[in-house]
Amino acid sequence: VSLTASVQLPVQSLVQLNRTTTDLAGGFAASSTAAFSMAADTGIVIIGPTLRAQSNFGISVTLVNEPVFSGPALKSASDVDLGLSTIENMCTGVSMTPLSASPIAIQRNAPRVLMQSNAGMNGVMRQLCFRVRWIFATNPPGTYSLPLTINVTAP
Amino acid sequence: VLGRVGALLLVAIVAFTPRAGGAQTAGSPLQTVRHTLVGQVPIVTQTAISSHSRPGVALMRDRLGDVATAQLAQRAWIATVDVRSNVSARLVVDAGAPGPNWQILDAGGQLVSWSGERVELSATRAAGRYVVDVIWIAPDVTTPPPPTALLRLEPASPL
Repeated sequence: VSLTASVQLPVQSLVQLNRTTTDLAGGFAASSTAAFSMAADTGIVIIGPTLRAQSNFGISVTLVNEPVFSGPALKSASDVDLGLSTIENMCTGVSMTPLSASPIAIQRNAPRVLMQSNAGMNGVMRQLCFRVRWIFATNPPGTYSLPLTINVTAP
Repeated sequence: VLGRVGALLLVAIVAFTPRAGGAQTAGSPLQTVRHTLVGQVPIVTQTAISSHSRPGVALMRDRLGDVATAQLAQRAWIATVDVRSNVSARLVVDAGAPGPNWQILDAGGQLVSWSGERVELSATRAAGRYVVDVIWIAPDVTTPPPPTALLRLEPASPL
């Protein structure tokens, strides 16, 4: 007698960020002038959220962003650089490039890839790192926010 | 034999069952995660004197007109002030204790007595980074440059 058991595993993937917002004051007090001043001179590096992915098949994790901040004045998203670190809570020396200032519809044609695998993955981590630049002439006081959208797709 | 055939068929069915993801439209996300960058920007006004120097007579005449003399230039100090502000602001020197008989060139181009009272040193300027020259006239030629801590930027209107 031969008995064969078979199970059809569903496609499963889960991508998580460990928080929903990142404060661009970078650990300084929110009202600190030091953070603004430093960001105006050299840009200030900010440790962003941690991205974790698990999947039983290959996935791509990509990012698009609004092209401009919402706030008291026009501020381009390209005033923020993004980089990825493989070490949690560590952004020192990470190579970064500016966020796109193109409309989201255009970004979707070639979104920024945060993570990609042709096979399943179990708890792969990427540390998102940001460098923000504030500009005296064009960034008046107020609250600025920039939404990011991270999509998980099958390759 | 039938059992083995059945098992093989079952394995074959499993092997060729399309993934659930395959039913999706190409490119449509399996999952979307949102994140927001948030920055709270305060009023930032900064001043720093980058240099002190003695102005020449020509510069003094340019700023003061015919009242400027070589003797006045010898007593004068010109401070180059780096100004940074993210709001419209004017440069002022606050009340303090500069010492007797100092004068200062105000925003209107007039030499006024720097008797320790607040003096406006520049017109209101837009937010940004720029340089303002401040001219002080010391009591005599040997007096060193004035203290720097009294300079500040004053926002044009409270926000």
